[in-house]
Amino acid sequence: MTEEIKLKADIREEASEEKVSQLRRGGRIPAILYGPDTKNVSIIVDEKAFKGAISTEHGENALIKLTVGGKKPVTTIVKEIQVHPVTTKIIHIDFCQINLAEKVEVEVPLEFEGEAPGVKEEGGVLEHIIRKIRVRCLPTIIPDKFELDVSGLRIGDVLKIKDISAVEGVEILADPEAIAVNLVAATEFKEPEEAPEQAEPEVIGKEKKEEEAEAVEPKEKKEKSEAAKPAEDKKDKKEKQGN
Amino acid sequence: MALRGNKISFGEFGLKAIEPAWVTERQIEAARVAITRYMKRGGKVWIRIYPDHPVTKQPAETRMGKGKGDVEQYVAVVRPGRILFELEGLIVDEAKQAMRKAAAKMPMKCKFAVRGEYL
Repeated sequence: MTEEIKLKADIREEASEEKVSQLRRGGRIPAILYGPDTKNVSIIVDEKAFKGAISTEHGENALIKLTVGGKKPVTTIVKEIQVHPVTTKIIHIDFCQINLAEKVEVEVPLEFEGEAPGVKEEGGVLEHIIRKIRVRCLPTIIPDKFELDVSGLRIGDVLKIKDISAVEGVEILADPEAIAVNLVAATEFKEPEEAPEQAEPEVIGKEKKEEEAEAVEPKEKKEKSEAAKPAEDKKDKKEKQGN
Repeated sequence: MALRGNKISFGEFGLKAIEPAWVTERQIEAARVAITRYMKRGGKVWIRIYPDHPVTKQPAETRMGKGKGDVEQYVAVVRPGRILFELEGLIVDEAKQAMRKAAAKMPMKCKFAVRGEYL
């Protein structure tokens, strides 16, 4: 990778959140430039131009020749892109000035080629465990991507970092024994079984209450009848006395 | 704004909350069942939220006071930008449909998210 993408930037004097938000609304992204041979400079870049710069085959590892305020261009790489959590718009970029003769550490995407028979025939799921690999190399030979062939994978098979074909001059910093991709059996969804209809459970408390109520009723009736009897007797006596 | 858990970390697609809300354990389970029922076979689901915040409630027909109520349920505190679920092993259209069904079970507005997207 020797191609360098040109990008223009202006020096940014506005630092307040309000001013920076205004710039963002105008389609420009606040950024910062730093590095071993440059002072920290707050800059601003055009959103469309930046998106164009990182959407090439080199992706976010593209070498960007940044011209700040019409001065001599500096070679940079994108160190960090901050994204708004809700709108997913880019809100800030870190450009790091680099020396082309010194090695840099970057993350290279890992892509998978081919179709695994474990997925097609056995219905498994290809689980991507590692998607980016950290490497150390010269900026001019940063690989665009690493490829792993998954066309021989069946359920239970794994591919490790050591299975990636080595590129001359590129040192892979990740653990070679780390699993990059794993083909697992899909878990089948089972409809939750409805509980079989049971006979209505006996409510002990309810029955007891009913029994108690029944037991109380006759007593009350007896009491009432007993209470009514003396009254009737009294009435009879009064009637007899009157006669 | 969700300062953590706002990126797709495990799968290829995700469901992102764009409003703040308390999500109950029942809602999370309903959404999970909706996704897995749609997927039937194939694909993998990750649940990125967990109901660990206790919510108390005074019993019905009780006068105010007499101390704090008992814990009634547990919820997940969700802030805008939080990734709720993640999916892998489906094509984009199927993943969108599965996430749409899950979003219907959520108490807030959600949107479909794809790994590494910059709008």
